[in-house]
Amino acid sequence: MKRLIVPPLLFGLAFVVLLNAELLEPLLRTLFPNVREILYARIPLIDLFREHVMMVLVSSVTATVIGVSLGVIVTRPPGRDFLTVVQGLSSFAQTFPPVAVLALAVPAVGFGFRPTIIALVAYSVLPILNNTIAGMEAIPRELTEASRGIGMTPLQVLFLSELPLSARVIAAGIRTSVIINVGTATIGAVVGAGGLGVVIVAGLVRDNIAFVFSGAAAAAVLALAFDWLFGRLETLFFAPRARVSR
Amino acid sequence: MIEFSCVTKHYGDITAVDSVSFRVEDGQVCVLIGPSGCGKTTTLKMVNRMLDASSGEISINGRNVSELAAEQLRRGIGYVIQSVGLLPHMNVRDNIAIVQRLKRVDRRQRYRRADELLELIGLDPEQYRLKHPHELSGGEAQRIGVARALAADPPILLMDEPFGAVDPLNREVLQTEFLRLQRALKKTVLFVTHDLDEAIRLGDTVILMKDGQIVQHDSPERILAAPRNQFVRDFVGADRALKRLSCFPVEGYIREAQQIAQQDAASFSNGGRGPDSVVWVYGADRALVGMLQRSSSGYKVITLKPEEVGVVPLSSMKEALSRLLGQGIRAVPVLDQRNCVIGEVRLPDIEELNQAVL
Repeated sequence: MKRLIVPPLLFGLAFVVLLNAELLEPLLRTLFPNVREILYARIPLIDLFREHVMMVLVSSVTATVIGVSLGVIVTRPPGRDFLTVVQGLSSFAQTFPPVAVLALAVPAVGFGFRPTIIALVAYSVLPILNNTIAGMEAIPRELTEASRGIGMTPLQVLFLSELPLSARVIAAGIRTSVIINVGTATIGAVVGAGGLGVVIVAGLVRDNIAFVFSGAAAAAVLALAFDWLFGRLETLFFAPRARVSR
Repeated sequence: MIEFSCVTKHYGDITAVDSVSFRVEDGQVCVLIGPSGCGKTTTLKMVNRMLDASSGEISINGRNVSELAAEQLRRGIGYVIQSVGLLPHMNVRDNIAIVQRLKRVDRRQRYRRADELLELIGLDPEQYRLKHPHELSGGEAQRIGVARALAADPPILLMDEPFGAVDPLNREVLQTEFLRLQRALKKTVLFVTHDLDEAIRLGDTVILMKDGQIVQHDSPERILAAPRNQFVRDFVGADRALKRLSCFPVEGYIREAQQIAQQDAASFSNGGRGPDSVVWVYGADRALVGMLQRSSSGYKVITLKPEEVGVVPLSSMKEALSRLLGQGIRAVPVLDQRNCVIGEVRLPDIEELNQAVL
């Protein structure tokens, strides 16, 4: 019970303090007494936070759809030929620094939200794709054979046996991606997508540690909150149960 | 009725099944047996189109299987495999009900049927329906696998080494269980095994295969008594006399047994019976607890464990013989489900049965 109440309370408290100018100001003053301009005045932190969450959600949902579908396709008999190609491509996409993807995406789709989403998706498909493939490959062959043998259509085999059986592994991939995205989304500020990166960049430019701290702290708390949430969802849906038993 | 006519299956250059023709009559158990790689499993899998035949025709009740949609066909055929293949994320009830779910039978009806089937295979629904597969023993999982195959009440069952992964003791129990079910349900069964004893015990007919061809298709007794060629003779082995005992269930050879209550055992005196007579001693609920044996100072009771000495009416005579030898006694008690003695099987009867052929 304690684990259900204490973390949300802590996260809530942290968000209230960080996103509320009146509460944040005294905190920053005590932490950084020498900084003159203590609050980022142009945009309220809560608006940046909202933009940030938006970027994470849109990119993660897109990456999940792409990653899981690709993972499913390349583990079907007709798509199996593409397995190594797809895996190679997505590993390649992850070795690209997101900033470089931004630099390439801006000329193509312009400044703002869109190039950032492209960079985030390119960067976060890999864990989801890899986990989907791993989850599918780990299912014993006899199990899919048996599913076919009792009269499931290929789609029923996918939705009634394969996906439920690999759900835990896929969920772990999504969790990793979301956490990565919370951090990486800060680069969106460079191309005018907003988000918590705006304060961090402003702080770096003006050598203002209070700005950097407030943006970074909000992003960190957001990442922790997502991580906790996924942990809860996992225990909720994948209750104590052996994965694959014979 | 399942009918194969000139069915061939190629894998590239390899011919796994070579122009095989046979027929399984309604309500009969036909066992396919042979060394590994002989094509028995391939033959089985062509019936529900897990594999498609390269040429030839397989028909079920006169309908060519290749004319039906594979999924529809499979939903009408019970399928039991060695690895069981229960879905680990579903409980026992959902696993049993899965075929009916595919057939869009409503939930309440499905669940009622699942409970019925649990009763049928001798597992308490209250205790088992919500368990997950990892909580089951190998034998229990295999029974649930059979229940799943029976859920939609298909007229035909395909069983691919269903008891192959179970330990020998449990295998015998499952075989007895299978005979009991088959007697009640009269399915048309095609059964693959590599265990000759199993084939002889369960099959109405046995098909011995080698290199994709049928070597001999006969009753189990004939396979043992009249092997067609050297291959069959080698396959059934030198101990075919012993194996032949697997053909006969104990129920045809039950003799009346003498038994006595535990409290009366002390005062029992030999009523002049011959040297073969054994007196069984029962305790509370009339369940077997031991046997009376003569000793220098009169009689004493030897404690026996019913599950170690006893057989049931559907056990084979071979099992009875092995109990006889194992326990060093002259007769084995035949027990009902509550371990009460309903009769006994005697050594001379087994000897006589054996001499009848050889």
